Formats: sequence, C-alpha cells, structure tokens
Amino acid sequence: MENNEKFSLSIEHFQTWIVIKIQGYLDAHTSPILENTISDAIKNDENQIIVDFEHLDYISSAGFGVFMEFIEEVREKEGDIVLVKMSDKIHKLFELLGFTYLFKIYTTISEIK
Amino acid sequence: MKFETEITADTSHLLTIREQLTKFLAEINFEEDKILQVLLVVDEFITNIIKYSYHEDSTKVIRMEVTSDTDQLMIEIYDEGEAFNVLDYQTNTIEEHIKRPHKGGLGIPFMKLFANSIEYFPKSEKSKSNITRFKFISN
Repeated sequence: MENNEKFSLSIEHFQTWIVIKIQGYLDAHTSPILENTISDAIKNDENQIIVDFEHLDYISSAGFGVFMEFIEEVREKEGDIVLVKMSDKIHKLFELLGFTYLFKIYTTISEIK
Repeated sequence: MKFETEITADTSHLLTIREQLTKFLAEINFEEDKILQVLLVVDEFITNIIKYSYHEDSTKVIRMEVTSDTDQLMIEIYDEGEAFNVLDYQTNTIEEHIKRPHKGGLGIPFMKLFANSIEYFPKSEKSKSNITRFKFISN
C-alpha cells in the first residue's frame, strides 16, 4: 500500500482488471502517488484499470488531471480507466464538469463487463 | 462573519486550508452543494501561487481572509510573490479538455467556472501583497 497521512491506495485484481482503491484526499500534493501507480500499471501492460472511489473524500484538478493524462493512452491499447463507487458529492462534480461523457462510471465493480 | 488564516507555501498545507474553510462554511450554513466548489477554487488558486508565484519556496507565506454576509462569500488571498493574475490566462475550456484529454491546465477553468467573480490587485506602494478576490453567491 502506498500512503501518506492524507491519501493512500491499494491494489487488487478483478478478472482481467487491475483495481486501484483510493482513499482520502487527491490533490496537488498527493496526486503523484496515483499518477505513478497508473503509469507503472501501463508499463506492465495492465491497461484495464478500475479506480475505486469508495473512500475518496476530495478530488482537485490535479486528481482529475491524472485520469485525463492516461485515458487516451489506455484506450489506444484497447484498455480503459473505469471509475466505480463514487460518492454522490464527487459524482455531482463529475456531472457538472461534463466528465461523465469522458469516463465510464459504475456503481459497483460487478457492473463492468 | 470573518475568518483569517495563513499557511506557508507548501502543498502539504492544502488540506489544512480546506478543513478550516469547510468548518467556517458549515458554521455560516453556506449552501452545501457549493462548498466543494469554493474549496476547489481556493485549492486551485493556492496551488498556483505555490508553484508559479513562489516557485515552491516553502518559507513564503500565503494569507487568506474570508468574509460572509447574507448571500455572498468573499475570499481574499494575499501573496508577496511574482504576479499571478488568473484573469490574464487564456486556457482551454473544460469542453476542450474533454475532447482532447491531457494532464494539467484544469485549475484555471475550474476557478473561472465556480467563482462568481474574480478580481486581482497587484502589489503596489500601498500594498506589499498581491491580492486576489473571489466572490461566491449562495443561492
């Protein structure tokens, strides 16, 4: 598990997907932790990536930027970055910004095919 | 009501600022859906000051004053670094970011989207600080 006092993440697998569970506050200070984890996954040809938002309390533009950085690359490799278990508060923000048009967002991991 | 705080220019203090601001906004019963938007604006702006005005010199200080009245919130952020006027930056819109996703560049569009107004007062003979003033209307 990668962590500091404000943000942590852990990795699991679901079928062919790598599942990155994020917790805490994803901002300019903590986003490099997630950025490095996704970058490492792609280097290992793990291009099917689920990010579990269940325990995420906050996301800033730096957090959004991590997903924006890699989304086209993984899709070009026939993968995806899929977001799950988002709180209502964060989901509303994604809707308001229009990011629900860019990312697939599911309530549970089992909905992903 | 009024609230003041200051931090040194280190992104590790962003959480402190957000926590203090959240507490104040809850105390004044600021519209709940808008609290996250206010936090995002302040977070984005202070991140920019740390990076571009102070070049990550963590000895420098950023001060924030928050004033509320019945339907308006005013946040003034003071820094003594290089001029950073949000209004001068022409960045891609959020729609353009969605069409062509890439890292970075979302902070200023977030500020312009969520703040009802932004004013900038550069440091002068009268003031040693640059002041950026954000206003938010509570519905």
